[in-house]
Amino acid sequence: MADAKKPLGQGILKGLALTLKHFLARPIITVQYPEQTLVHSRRLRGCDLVWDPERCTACCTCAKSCPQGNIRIETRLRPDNTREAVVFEIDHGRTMFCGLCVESCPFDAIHMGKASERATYSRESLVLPKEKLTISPERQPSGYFRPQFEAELPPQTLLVYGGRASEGPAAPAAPAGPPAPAGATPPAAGAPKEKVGVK
Amino acid sequence: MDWLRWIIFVVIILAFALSFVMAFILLERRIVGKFQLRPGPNRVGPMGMLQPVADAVKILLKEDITPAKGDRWVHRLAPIVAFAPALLVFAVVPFQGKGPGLGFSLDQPAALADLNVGVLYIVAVSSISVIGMIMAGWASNNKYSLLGAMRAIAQMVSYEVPLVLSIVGIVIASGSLSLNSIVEAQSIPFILLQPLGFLIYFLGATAEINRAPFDLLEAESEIVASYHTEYSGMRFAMFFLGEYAYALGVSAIVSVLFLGGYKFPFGLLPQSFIWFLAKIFLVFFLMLWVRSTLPRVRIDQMMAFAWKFLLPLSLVNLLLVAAEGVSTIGFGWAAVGINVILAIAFVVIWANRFYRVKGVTVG
Amino acid sequence: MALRTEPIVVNMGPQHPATHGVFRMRVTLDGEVITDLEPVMGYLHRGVEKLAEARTYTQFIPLTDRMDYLSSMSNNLAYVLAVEKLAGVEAPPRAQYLRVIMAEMMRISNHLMAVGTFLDDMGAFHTPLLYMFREREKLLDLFEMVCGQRLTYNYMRIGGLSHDIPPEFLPALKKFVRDMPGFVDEYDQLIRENEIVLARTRGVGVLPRALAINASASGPVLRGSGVKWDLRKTDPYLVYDKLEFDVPTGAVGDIYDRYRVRIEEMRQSVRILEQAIERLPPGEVRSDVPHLVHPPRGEVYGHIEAPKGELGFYLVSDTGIAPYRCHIRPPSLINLTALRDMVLGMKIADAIITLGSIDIVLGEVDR
Ligand code: SF4
Ligand code: SF4
Repeated sequence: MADAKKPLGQGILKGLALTLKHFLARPIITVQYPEQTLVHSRRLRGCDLVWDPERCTACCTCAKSCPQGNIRIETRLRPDNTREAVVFEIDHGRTMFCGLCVESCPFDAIHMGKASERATYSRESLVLPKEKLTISPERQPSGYFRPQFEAELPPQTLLVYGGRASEGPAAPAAPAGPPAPAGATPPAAGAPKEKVGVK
Repeated sequence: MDWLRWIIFVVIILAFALSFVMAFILLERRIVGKFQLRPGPNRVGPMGMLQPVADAVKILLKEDITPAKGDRWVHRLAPIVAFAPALLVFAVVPFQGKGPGLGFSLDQPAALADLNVGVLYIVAVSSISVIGMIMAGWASNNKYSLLGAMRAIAQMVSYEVPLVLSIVGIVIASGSLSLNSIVEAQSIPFILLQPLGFLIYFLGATAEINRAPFDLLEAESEIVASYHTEYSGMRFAMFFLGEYAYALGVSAIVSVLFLGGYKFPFGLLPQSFIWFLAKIFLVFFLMLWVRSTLPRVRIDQMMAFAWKFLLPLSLVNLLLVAAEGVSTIGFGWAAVGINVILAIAFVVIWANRFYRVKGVTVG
Repeated sequence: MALRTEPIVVNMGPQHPATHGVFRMRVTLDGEVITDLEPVMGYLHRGVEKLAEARTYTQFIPLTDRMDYLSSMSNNLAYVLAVEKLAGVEAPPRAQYLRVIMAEMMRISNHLMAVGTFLDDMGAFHTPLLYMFREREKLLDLFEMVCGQRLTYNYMRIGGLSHDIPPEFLPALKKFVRDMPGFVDEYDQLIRENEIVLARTRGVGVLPRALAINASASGPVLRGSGVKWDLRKTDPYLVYDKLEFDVPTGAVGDIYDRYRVRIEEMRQSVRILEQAIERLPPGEVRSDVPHLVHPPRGEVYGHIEAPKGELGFYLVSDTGIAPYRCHIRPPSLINLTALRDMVLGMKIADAIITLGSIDIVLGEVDR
């Protein structure tokens, strides 16, 4: 694959032309995070595990399937001979969000969450006991292995379509050719901050 | 009232240099960002304009570290030695010429000192900074710093030669060493009259102030941060500001020497310092454009480039200008035509030849 | 009179911008020329092979994501193929095609990163890197769509895949496949003929053909040295024997050849993707394999052509639910062993870009 062309600087000039083209066209490809957000995948394995005490039968399949041994369950026999989890604790600092527990739960009682912002000041606060694991407005389940949730979530925005969900007819025509401006519109100075999709 | 004039100009120059350095730091980050399909810093203040201020505050609050086994006093002095000459350059740069200009007119050139050896002064002053770099590299007692300082000496010494030779062409054409007279002499901007000289000067100056693709001193993927690896806080900031001050200085000198300084091209509009500032930005933009496109060259290639490519071409350029000076061609539009054609021819021929001389072609 | 000079020993890394924080090169320098180089690794050792013995076969899949984190899908694939070989199961046809699609997307994404960071090491101040990230982000988006995460996919399962692809996936991938050749041309315009790149990379870091074979290098490093060896052709797995593609090779084995091989491989991957999308059959994506596989007693070596080279898993089963022994052949590590031979007598700057051109990920080198 030898390129036998004589280098006289035309390679450098070509490169300069390309960068100048991008400079003038200004297709900003980055997303200005707090103001603009992209919609995550419906199957997002977010930084959360959401647990549904109603559905859980304390069968411990999830704990057994966890590669990290990360789910701690203590169970008790109820008078009607069913089991309930007295302790159900997941260390969110140790989990790798692999989703195997969600995949293996036979009763759809544990789900991946769809939150992506989970910063705290201490490791201890990442160990969530069962009261904190339940579904709440901040802790919504995602559609990972849960088709019943997946159908209801908004479609993911894709950078292939320049930050839109799909190549629908309503989408503004993207310029043809390679340097199609991908990504969300940059926030113009002073202009109202635009939201790319709902979070 | 000479002293009053000096004080005013010192203040103007300090304000100009420091504010422009800040602006350059911001501009560099914003413009390179645009080249790279991203907006660049845009959080602090409107359009990120306060970013340099925020950075300055941050850097001033950092601890000033001196390496335990380093040479303490040399280590402390080095940033000052490296930074001060950057400001000295502006002493002879004319901001606006004598006579009527856009808006107001002056009875003498607006420069701190219109030295009649201005060019010589600039060449002399701008090579002082390398001493600061060597001091820093040596005193840090760090191998990366030392390697960086060694690269700095090699680079500075080699690029000084073609750089000065290309200025000599200007001096021949304008017949003066004073920067103000050089600007006055440019009824045709020297970039047209001596395109080859401009190319050599621009490349040499890029190398001299360590900007891409000759930024070997800052080759962070190779020698970390080179001579300022061991610096932090305020002293690091001085090196950092110094680099931008040099970039500003070189932009200013290129505008003065080759782009006609404060004059509007071909005198279509009256002279003004505004044109001068605009030209500075233009030159700086050119540097950023190059920086955001090209990878870095290797140390031996850079030396080869100075000695085998730029030096012969600068001699050719000198010969050409001198020949035109003594012949009947003179420095008019005829010379422009001849020089542009010859410049392209020489660069192409020599680039071809240079490539074969180095023998890097494989396969 | 010859000056008496002393060589300097420079510890490049582990805290060095070009060694990614977890790799060290003990370089002996004579001025700027390298007279000796000793790679020191192990800063990121996590004992992945040992961990495999304490995990069930399925539970180990997410850990393979964390070896070469720039091509997790390929790691998944290599591992599940080895386990499938051991357990004697096979994935359904749709899963096989989807696996090919994922592996090729991964290859493009990995090569974008490899070339981008390599140019960064060369000092191109992030511009090519950002141009390449533009496309890599699109791919990561697609990965996120199918499996919920952008880096650690955990998508392959023994006997298939964890999910089928969502309906939006194929149109988006088709659009990507349509656009990608144009983008590759753009990279070529920026880099291919650039004189500085040529001067820096031609004839530098040469790994001669014989040495490449002796060092048992693989992937773009081996092919850059002119050896036409690609496991997708020489030992076809999945459905690669039904797909049409070329194996690009270099001529000299220098850095430039490796770079060209990577760029060409992206083009070929796009070709494979086109064909795989077209032929993707309907049906199941996961055959009926229990969560706890008990493979018969025996040992197996499964390997694939990962983006960085031959990635192999050697597994021994004692009929238990976990491998008795797991050994991994990481391409980065084996390719890295040739580094010393490539850089002796070169300059420091060459060592850095040679390291960049091998394309290592320390997570995989140290495991
Ligand atoms: S996501 Fe994976 S690591 Fe985390 S608790 Fe579930 S099985 Fe364990
Ligand atoms: S597998 Fe599901 S039902 Fe069983 S203990 Fe876990 S969460 Fe509860």
